[in-house]
Amino acid sequence: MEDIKWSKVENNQTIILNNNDKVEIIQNGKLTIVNILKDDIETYTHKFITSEADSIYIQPSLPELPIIIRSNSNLSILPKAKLKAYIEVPILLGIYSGSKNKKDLLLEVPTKKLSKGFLGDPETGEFSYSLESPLYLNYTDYNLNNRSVYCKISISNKTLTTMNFERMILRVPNFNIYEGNGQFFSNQESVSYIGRDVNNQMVINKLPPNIGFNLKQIVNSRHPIDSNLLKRSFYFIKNIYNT
Amino acid sequence: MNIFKSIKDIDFIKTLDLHKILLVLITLVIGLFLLKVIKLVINKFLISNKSKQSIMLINKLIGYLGFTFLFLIILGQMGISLTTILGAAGVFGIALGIASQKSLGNIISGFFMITEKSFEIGDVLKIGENSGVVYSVELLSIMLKTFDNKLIRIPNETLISSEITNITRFPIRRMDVDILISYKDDIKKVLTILEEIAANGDLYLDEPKPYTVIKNFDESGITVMLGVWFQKEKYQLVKNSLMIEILNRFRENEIEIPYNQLVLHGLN
Repeated sequence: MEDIKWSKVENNQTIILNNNDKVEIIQNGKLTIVNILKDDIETYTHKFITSEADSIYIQPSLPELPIIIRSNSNLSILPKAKLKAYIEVPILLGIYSGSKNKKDLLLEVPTKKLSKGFLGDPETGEFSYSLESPLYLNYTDYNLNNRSVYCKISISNKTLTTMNFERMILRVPNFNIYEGNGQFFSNQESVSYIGRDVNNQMVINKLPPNIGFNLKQIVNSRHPIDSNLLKRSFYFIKNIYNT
Repeated sequence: MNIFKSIKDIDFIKTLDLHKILLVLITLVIGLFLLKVIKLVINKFLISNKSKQSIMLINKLIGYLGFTFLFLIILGQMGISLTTILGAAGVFGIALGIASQKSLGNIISGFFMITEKSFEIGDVLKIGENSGVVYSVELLSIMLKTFDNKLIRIPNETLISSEITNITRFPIRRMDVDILISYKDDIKKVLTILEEIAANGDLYLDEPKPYTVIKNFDESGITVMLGVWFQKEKYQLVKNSLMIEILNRFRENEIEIPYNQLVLHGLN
């Protein structure tokens, strides 16, 4: 699939999101029309009245909810061991109107639809997206494309028992997006596992991740990066029918 | 002119102290204004982050206390002795207490319910045969607005001794659908189809996982249950979409939802 040109939209443009979905952006003076097509059939249309002087830009962004990550195979981290891996997160296509320095968001369209979930107990849980990942140790093991952000994670098992990875929350609304070598990366999320059902120490590194080449920040996080987020990062499956 | 002269000659009017009346009116106006200002300040700076229910109750409490205080001040200005009133109030109070047992019971029940926090304004409740949204929480009762726009008043005493189901307390709910399938059909295939429906639907949550279980061997077929988790606001969408999807997939796979059946064996 052809790479998306993340820049100013020239004339009318059709952007291929994935094998089935496309986005058409049509500019007609003050009127900007965005059509979303599934299998070439129009499923959604939105018209925007913009200023004639405005241009249309497309920009990547990360999902607005945290993501529950499941490993696609059984994974255990031994006591005192550390896992460093990458997660491939599908980008949202952000359509903006304005100038290079000031843009207004028109619409965000997912390049790949993520299913929704709810993690935690009914009183204090949170809505999230859900994603299964192979958790490759090198990002190059993925089929690299510019429709995804490669999020680096680090999990340290600080306990004396083996940690069986079941679910992990990736707090993507707190991540910036960096670009380097035509790929997108995000801030590194480091978690220290100290036990089941407790709040683990989670740190989101404010600097770009160390990939081996220079990275340039292109998108700010949706929410400010809290260096220390003492929130529940791991979830272990409980029999909810008994809770 | 003659009319005014006649009015002035009435004994009651002669005893009226216009100075006092003016003072009472000024006190009333200033008192009501101050009460409004106090309510505004408390709402803006002290209780703005509280729940709608708590804000409503606190405002009512400020109102009742404020009016009582203002009333006592005005009585004092009019020269009516408080001692006499309190003395009379003693006897009157007993009579009032006996007469208003039920109302006092409702007020006390109301305080207990507030501390329990089993529901709030905006929650959907089921109380006996009635279902609706909590419209307001009053001193003696709650008001429930039904889905067809009726307003039902339920006394607090009734509430405290009734079973209340709070349908919207948690952000997610599970929808359980019982489906009867024929004994002839492949039950494993049915379970697979139901799991696929739950996994592929945009409206159903991945976590917690959907729930499928074989419930019972019934007279006319096997009862299977599918439970899908969803966001509480999407009840109608989820219900309709799930029912339609199940029916369509069963038809595609020639799976029968049987009618009630009775097999008769003839004896020769």
